[in-house]
Amino acid sequence: MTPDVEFRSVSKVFGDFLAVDDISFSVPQGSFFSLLGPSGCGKTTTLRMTSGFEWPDRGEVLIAGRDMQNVPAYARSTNMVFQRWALFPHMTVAQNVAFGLEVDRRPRAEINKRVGEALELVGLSEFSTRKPRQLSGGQMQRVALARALVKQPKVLLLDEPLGALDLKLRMQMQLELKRIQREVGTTFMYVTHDQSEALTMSDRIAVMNKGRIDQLDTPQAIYDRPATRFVASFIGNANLIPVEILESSDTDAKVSAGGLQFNVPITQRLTGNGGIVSLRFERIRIGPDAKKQQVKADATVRDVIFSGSSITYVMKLAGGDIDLTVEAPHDGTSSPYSVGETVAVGWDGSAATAFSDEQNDG
Amino acid sequence: MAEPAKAPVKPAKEPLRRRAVPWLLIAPAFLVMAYAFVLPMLVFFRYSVYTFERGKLIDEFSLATYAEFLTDPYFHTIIFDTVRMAAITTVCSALIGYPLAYALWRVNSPSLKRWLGLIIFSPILVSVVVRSYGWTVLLADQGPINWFLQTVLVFPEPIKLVFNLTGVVISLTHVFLPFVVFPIFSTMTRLDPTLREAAMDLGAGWWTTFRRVTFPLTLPGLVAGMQICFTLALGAFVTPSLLGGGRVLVLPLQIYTATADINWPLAAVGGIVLLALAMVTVLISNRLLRYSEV
Repeated sequence: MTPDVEFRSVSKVFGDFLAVDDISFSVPQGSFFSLLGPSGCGKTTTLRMTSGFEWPDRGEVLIAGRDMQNVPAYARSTNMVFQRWALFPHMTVAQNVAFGLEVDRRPRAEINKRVGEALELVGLSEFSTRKPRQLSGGQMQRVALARALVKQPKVLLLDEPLGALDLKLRMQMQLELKRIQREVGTTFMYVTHDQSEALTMSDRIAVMNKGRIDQLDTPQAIYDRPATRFVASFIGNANLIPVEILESSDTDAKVSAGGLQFNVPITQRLTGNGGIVSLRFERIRIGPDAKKQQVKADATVRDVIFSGSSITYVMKLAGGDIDLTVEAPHDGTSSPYSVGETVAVGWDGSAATAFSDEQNDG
Repeated sequence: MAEPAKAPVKPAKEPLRRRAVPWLLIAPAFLVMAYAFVLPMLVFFRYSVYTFERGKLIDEFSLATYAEFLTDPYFHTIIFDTVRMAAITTVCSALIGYPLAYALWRVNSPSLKRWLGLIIFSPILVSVVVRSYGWTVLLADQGPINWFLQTVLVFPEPIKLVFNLTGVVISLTHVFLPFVVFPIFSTMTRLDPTLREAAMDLGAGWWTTFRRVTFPLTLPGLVAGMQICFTLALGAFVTPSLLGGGRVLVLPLQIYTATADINWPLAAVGGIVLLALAMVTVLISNRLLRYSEV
């Protein structure tokens, strides 16, 4: 099956700044594909090259197998949901949604029918005669979605569309976007800097850093087996512990830190003696649970942060200078440990990943 | 136990000193307006209801001057010519000004943008008298434009470009251009650039994007610019008198002639008609703006 979007060794420069550095990837038909990364990592530029607002300086962009070299934005079978939605302020909701079909000179009856369907899909049928300024952020978001989807694009491009919404609404819209994507079956290409958004909705995520793709995989694989130190630190909350590498093979390494020796899986070959072990906050067990883990140590509680569903402990490992942050679920039954207490901590060998010190982050 | 009823909370009064600040800031402008606008307007209205007969001012209430002004075909022609001159100037300014504002907006290089802005602004920097004499030279029968038309384009006779309505319109368009360009330009810069991208993304080419998105959203700037241009053109005095060659008799010139004849009532009525025309312009453009409301 031809992928809906394919990048072949694409680079883009703005003046001296290499915004996108030789990236290649493909987006399978009907999938929810996310480009995730911090600001300035090249994810929006990648999306804009797909839509036709930017042109690659090297390499090829293909949509449904066709080279887009000379195809302008208005002739591409992609549609975009913009960051601040970019609704036409002088048109009503229905006029906004109808715009793309009118431009294509579809018959009036068809336009009315499809606009009605699109507004129903996003649950805004009653708002069709309102102007954008009479809508809330969430509603504008839906209009932008309907306006793009009504054109039945091959690929729907979304540029941080939820960034301007508040947290509750954002989470609600995430589920809604996923539902709509399942319902219409369109390929979604989604740009975000919010890892939880990407993890929640995507089938596949490309984690971008400094113009390159560090890792392209399923959300779970990216979370559990980060390919680079950047991915490990960018996704989720991880302790980054400096270690000494004692020996290493293709799949794991033996490391030592603060008098503690343990085995860690690796995703890239290690070079040199120094390394970093990434260990997720929530994969560390504390108290009686720690006894059953493969790696065990004692630690002193230095700070306790209560945040509702979980409790975060900042701890210092016994016999070393190593700080550990541990996130333990709060079930409401056991009372939290207090500052100064010494408790057992431990983790499963596979919970951590080791990276070289000299390793290039991107 | 029932709680004792509480007195309803009333907003506390702001201290006098703080309330007085806005009034103190307004005061100078208010005094100037009262002395230089409101008082003269009252005098103006008073003179407009007097009459002038056989070189003498008769200070008794009468609407005769108004009646004369509004029924005499001579004054009809003046009003019509004034409105026509202002309208043609406004249309010309808009036709040249809108594309110019668009170019100024789309130009990428900041230095080119600055120079273009300065060139558009330059007519205002030159004194109206100097500018008008300049135009008489340029537009004269033996001037460079007619020389070009006759020798290069082989026109049989020189085109009459000056000492008629054409010359006045050309010169007024030149000087009012910045008043049209800058309001349009400012609405353009306030336009969200992603709106144009959104239109193109939805399949619209340049022309459709312009017609359906850019133009309707910059219409308020165009209307504002045209309103300013029209009102300024209504009141133009030096340009019609220097470039009209006596053939362009507009209200400000009529008022001037009337004051020279010390016919205060006729001058006052002319002024009030001019004021009424300007107010009608404002009303019409406000109505137009309502259509482009977002």
